[in-house]
Amino acid sequence: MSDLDRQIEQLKRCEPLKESEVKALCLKAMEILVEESNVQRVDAPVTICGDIHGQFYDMKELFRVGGDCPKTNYLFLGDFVDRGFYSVETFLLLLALKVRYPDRITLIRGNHESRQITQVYGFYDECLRKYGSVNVWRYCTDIFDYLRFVSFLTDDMGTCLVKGIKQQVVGLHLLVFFGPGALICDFSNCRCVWKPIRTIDRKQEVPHDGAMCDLMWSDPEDIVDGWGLSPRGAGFLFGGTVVTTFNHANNIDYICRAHQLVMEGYKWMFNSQIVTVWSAPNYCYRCGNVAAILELDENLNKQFRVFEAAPQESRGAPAKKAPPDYFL
Amino acid sequence: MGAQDKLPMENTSLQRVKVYRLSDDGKWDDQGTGHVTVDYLERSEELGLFVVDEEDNETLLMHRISSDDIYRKQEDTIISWRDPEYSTELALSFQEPTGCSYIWDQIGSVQRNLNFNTLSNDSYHGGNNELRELPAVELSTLPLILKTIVESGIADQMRITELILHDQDFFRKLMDVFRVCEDLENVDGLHVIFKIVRGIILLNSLPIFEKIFGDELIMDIIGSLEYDPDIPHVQHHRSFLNEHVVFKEAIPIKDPVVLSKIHQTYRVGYLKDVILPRALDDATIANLNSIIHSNNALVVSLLKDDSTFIQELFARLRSSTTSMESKKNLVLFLHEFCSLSKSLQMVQQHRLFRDLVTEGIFSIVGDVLQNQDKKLVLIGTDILILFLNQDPSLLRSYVTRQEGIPLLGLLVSTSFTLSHLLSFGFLQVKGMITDFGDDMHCQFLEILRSLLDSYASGSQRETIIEIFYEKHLDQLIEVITSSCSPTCIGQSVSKSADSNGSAGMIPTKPEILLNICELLCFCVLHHPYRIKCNFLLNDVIYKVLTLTRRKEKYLVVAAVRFLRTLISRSDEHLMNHIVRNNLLKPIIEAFVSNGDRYNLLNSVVLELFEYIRMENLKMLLKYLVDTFWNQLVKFESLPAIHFLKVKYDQSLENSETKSPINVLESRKRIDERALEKEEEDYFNEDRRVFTIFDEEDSASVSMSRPVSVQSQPVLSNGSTPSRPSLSPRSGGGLVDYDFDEDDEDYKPPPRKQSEISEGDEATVESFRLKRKLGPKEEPELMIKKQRIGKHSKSKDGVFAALCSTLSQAVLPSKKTADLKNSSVEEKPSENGSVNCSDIRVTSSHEPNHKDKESTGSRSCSDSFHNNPDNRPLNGEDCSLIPPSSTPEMTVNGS
Repeated sequence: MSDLDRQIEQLKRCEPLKESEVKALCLKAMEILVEESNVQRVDAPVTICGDIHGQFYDMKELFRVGGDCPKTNYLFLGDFVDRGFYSVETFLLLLALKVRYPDRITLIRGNHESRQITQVYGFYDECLRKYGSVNVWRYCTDIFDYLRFVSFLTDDMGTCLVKGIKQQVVGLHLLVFFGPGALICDFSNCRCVWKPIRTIDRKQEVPHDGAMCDLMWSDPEDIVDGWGLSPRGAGFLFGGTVVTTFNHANNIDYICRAHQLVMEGYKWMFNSQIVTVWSAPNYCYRCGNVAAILELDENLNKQFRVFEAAPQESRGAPAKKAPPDYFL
Repeated sequence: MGAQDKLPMENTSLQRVKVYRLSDDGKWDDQGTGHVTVDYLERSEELGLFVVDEEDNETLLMHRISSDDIYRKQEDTIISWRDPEYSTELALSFQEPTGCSYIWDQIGSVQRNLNFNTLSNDSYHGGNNELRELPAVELSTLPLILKTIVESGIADQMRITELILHDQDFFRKLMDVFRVCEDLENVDGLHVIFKIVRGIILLNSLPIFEKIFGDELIMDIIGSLEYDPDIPHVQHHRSFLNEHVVFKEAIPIKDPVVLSKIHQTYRVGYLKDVILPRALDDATIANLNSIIHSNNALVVSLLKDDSTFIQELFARLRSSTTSMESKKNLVLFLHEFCSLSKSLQMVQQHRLFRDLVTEGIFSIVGDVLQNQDKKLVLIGTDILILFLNQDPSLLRSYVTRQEGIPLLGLLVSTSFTLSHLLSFGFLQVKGMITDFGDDMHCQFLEILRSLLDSYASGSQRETIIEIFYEKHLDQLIEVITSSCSPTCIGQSVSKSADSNGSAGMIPTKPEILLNICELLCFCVLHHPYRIKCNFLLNDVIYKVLTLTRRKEKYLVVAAVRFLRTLISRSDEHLMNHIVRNNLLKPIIEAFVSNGDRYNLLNSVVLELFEYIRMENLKMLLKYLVDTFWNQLVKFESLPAIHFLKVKYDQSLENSETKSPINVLESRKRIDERALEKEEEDYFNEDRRVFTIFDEEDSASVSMSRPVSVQSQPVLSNGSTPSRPSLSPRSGGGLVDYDFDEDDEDYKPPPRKQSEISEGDEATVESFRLKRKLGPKEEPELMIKKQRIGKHSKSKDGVFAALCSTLSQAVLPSKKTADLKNSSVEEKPSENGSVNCSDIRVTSSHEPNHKDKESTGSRSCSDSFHNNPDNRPLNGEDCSLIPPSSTPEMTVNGS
């Protein structure tokens, strides 16, 4: 058994790796991820998963429902860390699987895969608590920078499924998707904002505005027509017309995205033009929601699988270990 | 439910405010600029607005948020109120509307809380609630109590809170029952009690927390929480807390208040994180956190004010008789102390850190950094980072004080100054202490960054940067060059990549190279001038770009990013340097050998091209397309590459109308090395290719770009697109003038021309490069020449007309005309070329500009002198340029 396989087994038991192992794993992952494109086609059949948020045992439940990794292809839509108690183990397991089976699993960057956000919502503290230093956090956040942010699926009929944007979209469509910020910028400053997504150097912290930020923070909203300000303080709200225009312009059937808690695990909006998939059951261990994954067969036929929180997750041993000694 | 995340506030422009106070004579006085926060007032549970001066960290404003409706929001960026305590009118003017509305919302929610509390008090005193009292606490009434607590609505919950607080004996009795149940092993009873206690905690009342977390109750409360009915096994929290957790006292703490707070903090944290993490909601967690937070503040504050304590701490840390083990504990304590001081208000923390510096904390840390124990070194660096985060100038000034004044020789050692720190950092970078530095290099990177940060002010920073550039930059570059195979950069990347992994290389870890590259990017952004000198003189860019030979693609990407950072400086000299030394070559080669793979390397290089195009960096654009188009053409299906060429062609088209001027302008600066006559003719034509439109046009280009992009998205054949919006305008300036204003006032033309010549400085430089490329590039040149030849004919007419206009234009000024003549005479003898007269006209008209130009070219030639001759591509040419350009400058200057 290779080191990597051993590490995967260890992580599957929810036992974190040693700091030096994390570092080595991250370097290997970096080599693989640097070869990936900003937008990448993923081949069906594939199972799409939404937010995990460090709920390790629930993710194991997910694998139980959806099948083990090399047997089933997976597309994770980001937000692996924060909130839950096992961000380290969750992300490292996914990363180890990525290194072991690069073609079988795709990881997309979510808004939580960011230095700033993880310092607020738990991943930073968890690394500090579990390793006594924040080096592991540093390694992981460096890897976040390499994660791609869009994938699309297509079959022979040209059906396409996206979180984000299809490849080689021409200027106008990007402007539409990037929101009023870009449009305002365009006309008032007479600056060209036409920037194909391929030419983004994604290895950077998620910025506070601009395309990369909007891709990760925006939400669809029923009552908004066109674009609206987001209560999250980043990204935008977008309404049905935006989605219609976008899908039409890009010849897309529907957009599949995560990023928002839905009690039923998944939720269609705007006449089945966009679907939100959420894969963290009983989010934050108290929201009481169920989770879902979306299975697509080779013809892109959809099947949602809904699952509940793992029993271990909700009533396991103490989730956090207290520090063994203290001065103050 | 608060489950939706928000982008957290940073200490950014969002918080930046100006504070105004209404003076007696009715004017708004500016009190200063700072960052606003909503935070707890010192030693109280009341919230207030704080504004801390952005320069000296002094508190500009401290205002207890009032429950009265005194606040007004104006114009999206101003919040004003009449302060009842000081009876003055105050106003905060925000830089950002978002920041204003954020603070506005915060004030609103604080007010709601305040009003809510008064309301609940009223209802209690009014006694209009049905629930008059709680059942007496007995084993038999436990289910009833549970029902009352858990199944009540929000209004009732407040009532229950009041009742529980009102009944002095409630918890004592409850805990009595608990102990009885525990003794009798009455599991059902224990389960009910667990639920009651959990329910009470979820009432989330600070007064209740105060009560149950007190010394006499807390262990029993924790005990009752061991019996979670949902968990099959009984938990052993009390025995963990009593027996397993070690409370370490590095220095005995005498104050019982402090001791009790320390224990309470740990236990509350334990309750929050270990016992009830799943049960607590966000609001309760927030309240528990604020208890911990204010406890920490209190503890740190009491300890820091205890001067004997601090003195003893430092005395023991310094003493040579202190055992290794206890020293280690002292350092760990110090770290925790510094780290918890984050809970203090900014001003207080700053004061504390200053005091610690005075006590000599840095020399202690210096000692620690030399320790053999890795963990301890880690702690030491963490302490430094804490200080740097709070105020980097503390460490900076310590370091320079040590450098400068030997007064502080009484401190143990002067060697623990920055240079020590730096070399310490670099030693491990060099791999000499590989094992040691392995885990630490990212910390060192962070420390270095803070020290070198350019946003700080003061002379110390300069000194530090000085040390860094003098002593250490070369070391870093050395690490890179020695880790990249010493083959020439001209060799194909793939080839050198193959030989890379094999022996003969100094095994620096790739992640260290990555960190160095990152630090260099940081330096480029923070010390643009220093880095420029250093880079130009020592060939650093070339050396860093040898990273493109590494087989780790992320290092190749990092090298591209480094060059991209340099280019983003928009510095003429740097760009000149890049062009002259053909520094894009390794990048293009990496790009080409990467092939059609759409990966990060591909994206990064395309982004670089896009940047050059969007920012209209003429010199680079021209150099890029001229030199590498043969290699890039096969990628033309990529929009970024395609539009690069489109832009290039546009600039050509632009320049054609003006080429005469540029031809001549360049002409005088070209080195004349035995050029054959024909070749010269080619160059005369060729120069049009190299000319790039002037500033005016760049504006119009960038405006029209979106239009052209969108209206002609499929220019896939690579042909020059028609640009109706551009051609009339760009050409118009000169050509129209020529004919229309022939017999009008003559002032405008010289101005225009001088602009052009200014813009062409770049062209000339890159043109030189072109000349140097040698035989290998020749075929490409030929193709271009032929293409240009087609246009040249028609331009001759324009050229002639323009010349005549120019000569007429200068007639009014006799002096300039003379100058013109003299230069006409001189020039051929200097350069052996003809057709130079018009240049003289152009340049002599603007003596100021001339000066500028010549200094420009001088500095260029200077850096040429300094170029080592080992560059295979242009080494032979280097020596040729300065001699010819220098005399030329003398001529120009006359």
